[in-house]
Amino acid sequence: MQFRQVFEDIFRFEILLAAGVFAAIAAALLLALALSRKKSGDRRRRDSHPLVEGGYALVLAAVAGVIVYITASAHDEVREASTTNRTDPAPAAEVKVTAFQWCWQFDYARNDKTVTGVCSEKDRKLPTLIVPAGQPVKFNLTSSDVIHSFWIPDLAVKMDAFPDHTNSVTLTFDHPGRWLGRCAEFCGPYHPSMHFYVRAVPPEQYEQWVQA
Amino acid sequence: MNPALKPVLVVLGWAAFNAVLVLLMLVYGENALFIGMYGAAVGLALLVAGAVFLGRRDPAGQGRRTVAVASQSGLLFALAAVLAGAGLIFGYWLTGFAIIPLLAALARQRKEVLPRGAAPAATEVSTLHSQRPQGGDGGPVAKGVKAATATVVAAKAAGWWRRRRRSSRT
Amino acid sequence: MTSRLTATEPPGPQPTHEPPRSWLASTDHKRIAILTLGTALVLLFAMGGLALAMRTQLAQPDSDFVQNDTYNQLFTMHGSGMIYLVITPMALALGLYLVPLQVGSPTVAAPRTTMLGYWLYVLGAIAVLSGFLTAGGAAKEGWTAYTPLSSARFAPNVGTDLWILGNFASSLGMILIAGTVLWTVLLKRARGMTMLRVPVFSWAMVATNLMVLAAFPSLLIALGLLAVGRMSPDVFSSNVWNIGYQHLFWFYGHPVVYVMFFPFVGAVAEVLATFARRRFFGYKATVLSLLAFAALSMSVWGHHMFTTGQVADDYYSLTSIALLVPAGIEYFAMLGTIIGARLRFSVPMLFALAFIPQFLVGGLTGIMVATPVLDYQMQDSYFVVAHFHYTLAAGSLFGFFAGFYFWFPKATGIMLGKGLGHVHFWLMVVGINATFLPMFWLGMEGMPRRVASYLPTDGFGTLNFISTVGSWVLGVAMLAFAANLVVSIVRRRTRRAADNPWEAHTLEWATSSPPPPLNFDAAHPLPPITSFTPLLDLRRKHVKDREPT
Repeated sequence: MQFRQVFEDIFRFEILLAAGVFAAIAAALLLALALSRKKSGDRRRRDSHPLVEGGYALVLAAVAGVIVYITASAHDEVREASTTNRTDPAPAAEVKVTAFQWCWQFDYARNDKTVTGVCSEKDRKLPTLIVPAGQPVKFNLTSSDVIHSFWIPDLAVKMDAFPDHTNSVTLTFDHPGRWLGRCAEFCGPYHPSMHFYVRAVPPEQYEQWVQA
Repeated sequence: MNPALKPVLVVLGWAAFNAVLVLLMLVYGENALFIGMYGAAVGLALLVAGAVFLGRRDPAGQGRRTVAVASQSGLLFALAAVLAGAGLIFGYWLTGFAIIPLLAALARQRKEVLPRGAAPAATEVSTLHSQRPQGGDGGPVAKGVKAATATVVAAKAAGWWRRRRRSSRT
Repeated sequence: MTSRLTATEPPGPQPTHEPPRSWLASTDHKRIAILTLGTALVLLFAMGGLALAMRTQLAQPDSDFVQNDTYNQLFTMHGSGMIYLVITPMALALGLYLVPLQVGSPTVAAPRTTMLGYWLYVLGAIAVLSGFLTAGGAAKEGWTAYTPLSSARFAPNVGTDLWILGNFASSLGMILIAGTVLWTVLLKRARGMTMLRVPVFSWAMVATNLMVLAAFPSLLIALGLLAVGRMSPDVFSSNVWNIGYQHLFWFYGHPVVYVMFFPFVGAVAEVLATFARRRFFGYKATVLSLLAFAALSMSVWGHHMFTTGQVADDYYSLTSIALLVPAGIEYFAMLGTIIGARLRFSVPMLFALAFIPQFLVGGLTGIMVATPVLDYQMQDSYFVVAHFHYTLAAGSLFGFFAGFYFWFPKATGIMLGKGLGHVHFWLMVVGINATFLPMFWLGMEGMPRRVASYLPTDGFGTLNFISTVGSWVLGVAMLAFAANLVVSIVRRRTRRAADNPWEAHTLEWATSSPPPPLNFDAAHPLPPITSFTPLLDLRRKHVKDREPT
């Protein structure tokens, strides 16, 4: 759930910043409207103020620097957690995710186990990706036709599935549960119903399932 | 303060800032192919700068200026281009048809320009209603002279470039 | 110099006065610009109509107002139409109309090349739209037309071929127009019009046209690559061409966002300064920031590709966030222009004032989507849809209308109606925000873009319904605009515009409304050019001269 956690932290940071900036500019705008009602004429003849402008530009650059630093650090954190070559702890499961027009296929490295389903608007037969909860799972995303995108909105994670290319991402599902996944990249007529489920189950249950 | 900000410096400065950004890309390790793509765009901006530089000088353009007063050739050239393109979709026979507007455009093109050094007569402001001040300090002739003078001065810069374009197009 | 004879007894061909040739074969930059703007306005209504059909479909879950396949054509044509055929041409045509006037040039450089640009645009638009008449329907792969989906294997319809051809032609036309306008502002300025006396709007056009010349060729190459994929789709079984297409496309696709923005910032700047009765504040800082903004915007394209897992995310994130510096300077200048001034709230000013907070929403959410860890959630969701509509519709379109109400009297000699103008403005404000604000939440809740329907269980119903009602309000607002246009033209005799009805500052207001063919003449000579606001200088001098010493 690394992605979700970081998403929430950074989103909170940026939305607060944005709200502050919006409030400041809205206040300035309202001030302009209020001042324009005054009866006395406009006395200002000054059309620029290079010192203030320069100083202001520096402040802006500093703000940009802070945002870049915070968000890039968060990105590093996410990348570290989801990187593919890590050994500590080694991924407990490895799944090849193949997107195709218009559904998903999940191939488990162990036991040649394969899961697929029918992606239709009535989501009864959607393919379900079963993963062990609390353990890192490595996904290798690819496509057999056009570009798709593997998106689990509740977990704030998205990664494209390209033909002739594999993107890998390692995710850890903190607790058992079921989440809806969607295709996020427009991929043709049946794109709107190209959903899947991710179900995280306790590790022992996962073992049973994968052995079966 | 800065009376001599030359136009070519504007374009060059812009290209230079882009070049810095291209270099910064090297630090971040983007694929060389796509750094090259950005680099090519900087090259384009440099070409624009070069054209501006030459256009400013334009020693050869003196006295060879012409003024276009009609532009039917524009439509004909565009028609030829789109027909040729449509040939890729609907079959190459359409490309053959593109030759007709192309030839027509080339023929038209010569008739659209005034003789060297001449300028168009003043035209009325044709609009939904005419509200130009009556009388004033100049009849139509005076206005025409003024306008013609302005055009010729302006055509100085345009002429060379237009001829360049035309010769590259034909 | 030219002899007197040429004026009275001209040799050779002369401009014709008979419509339609006087328009369709004109070499007058104003007429070419009005043709371009008129075409773009007609298409604006058409593309907006497509959007209304989409919003109506999305009002309810599981709706079947339009078929899935039709819906895919609608969003493709709405998106690509608005970007390639409406807002970009509008932005460049505004520059084509105003730049020669603002810098005191009688003509645009190479008017026939400019006209060629217009015709390429028109014929291109016809090609794109004719896709609707073909058996397989219009293009339906989104305005981005990602490969391999848009290759002949997955999209065999002729509509997609026509889409590629048409967009190639019209974008080529835009490059030609941009080139001639840039040439005009750089090399055809009147005597005394130094670069640092060029008005803010014309500077915005310098930045815009530089971007067009450097970035649009990349689109032509990308479309060429698509054309190759139409003939031999196997090209796209190799990843490098797929990711390469995205790079080529977005290398155009991001700068174009600013091409569709800068001219309207320039328009807003002129409007704010005029109705504040002041010079635009921080001229040099603004000019510098516009150029820096334009350069930075060339380097951010990869932020559209964070989820591809194949770009150097942190570089693009850095440059994208750095955009807040020039944007912040421009906001500072806009606010510095109006704070403490005695404002006049005419219709153009209303649009310009609303532009400030509304575009800000788009800009601030832009920082969010430029942050990779947030973009992993927001990319291709309705959050992004909301974000770019705040920049393009709530921002650029408002800037456009500010400029339209402002310069319409100059271009036609007719004032637009005030009453209908207010109706148009307020309905736009309500409609825009009601339509696009809910989309931020839809995106956060996980609604992907480019879906024709959603399930009742998704829980997207309420927000979508609000958004749809908002879009209908927007539709009514545009009808009010159309009505205003028609009524004003019909009642032109009572709505004559003076040469400078708003007491504006720049050279276009020194000539007649509408200006004569060569912009300035004996009755309307160029005033002395003393700064970037020559007319304001004249007025102030006049006031000073009358003051007792």
